[in-house]
Amino acid sequence: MDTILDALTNTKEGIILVEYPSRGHPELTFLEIVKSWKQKGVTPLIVDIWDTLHVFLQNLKFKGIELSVEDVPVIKERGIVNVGKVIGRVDVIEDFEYHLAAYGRVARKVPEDSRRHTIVLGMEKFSFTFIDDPPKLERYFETITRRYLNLRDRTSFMFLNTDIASEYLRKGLEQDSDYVLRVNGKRIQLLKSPGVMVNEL
Amino acid sequence: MNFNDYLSKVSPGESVLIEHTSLSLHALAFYAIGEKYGWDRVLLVDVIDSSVPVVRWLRLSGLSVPENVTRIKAGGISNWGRVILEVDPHKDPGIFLSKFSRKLREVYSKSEFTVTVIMNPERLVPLQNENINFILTLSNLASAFLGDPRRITFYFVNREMTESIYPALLEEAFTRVLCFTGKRNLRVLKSPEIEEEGSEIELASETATTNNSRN
Repeated sequence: MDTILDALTNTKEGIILVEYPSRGHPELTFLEIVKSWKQKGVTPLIVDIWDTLHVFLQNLKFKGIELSVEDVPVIKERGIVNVGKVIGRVDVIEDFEYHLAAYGRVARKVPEDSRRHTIVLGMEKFSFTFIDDPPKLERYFETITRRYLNLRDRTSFMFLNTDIASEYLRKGLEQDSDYVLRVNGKRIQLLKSPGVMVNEL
Repeated sequence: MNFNDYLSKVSPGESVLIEHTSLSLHALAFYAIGEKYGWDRVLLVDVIDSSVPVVRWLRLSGLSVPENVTRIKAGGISNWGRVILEVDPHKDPGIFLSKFSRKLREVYSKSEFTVTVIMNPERLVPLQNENINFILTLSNLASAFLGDPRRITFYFVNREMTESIYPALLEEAFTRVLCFTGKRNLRVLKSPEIEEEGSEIELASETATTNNSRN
């Protein structure tokens, strides 16, 4: 397994942005993370925006890899294909206050064991309708993404397609993440991480 | 030159612009400023919680920022620090900018010396729909305090998140402009000592480590 992913799936705390291009293979990174956590007895929560989880699983399937997510709690935000153990849906995205309230109601149903490990798939699809609208993106950062910076002792991977994300969205998320990874096929680069020493992970 | 040593060159009354990127380690510059002048002298002006990822990154790196840093909030939801004013940057800029500048004046007159750190003011610009009058008023507010020896001011601006004319207005007014060229390297783009323009400054890892172990 990749040493960067190995270290990150062992970390107790971190907001990790995973950037990938449309023709990359983010599903392989996703697979490594889920497998690595599984080995450690961790069942993460997956936040599936539109049907990105379905897309990742199908891309794995045609590579001959079956990944079972039957026991993995999933919160669905929009989209129509239910995979995993869907514990609730949030269909309102653009009204952020309403979204947070609805998400909060569903999040209460997340099993205790899955609350400290999260994978968010399809970040760019959440912001899709306002991706070129910096005023609205700023409200999104202010009310939603920066809220999670105040939580401790949890690890979250956020997958972002950088061919779809606007520069403003990508730069905003990079600024606020503890770690930034760029993946393309099997290549993984670490662009940002905590630590004052050079080359520290 | 080391960033810490460079700070010694800055005189009271100056305003320093630090242009960073989303991936640069400007958090270390923020930390060096707090350690150099003393966190109790720092007045943090925080635009929509921009300090929160910085303080978080420092914590995960083993460097702690005191909980009681004096803070003015322009939006955002985090309550960390000792918040002395909260303004709503989505509202009429005439109102929140005058509240803000009144509070700055009050802090400067009550304290012997203040190090003001303004974190990502460029993010106010989209909140006000890129209004050109707002940009000029905001940058002029920075110019107005220039030369006041009761304070030194540092602006952190993410140059990747602004396409507006705003940083150019700040560059003109400020006495020093430092720009990140790598994760921990800065270049002096403007300085009262013209001969040092173009020179490199480094945020040395050992500086941060040494400072922290002193605490």
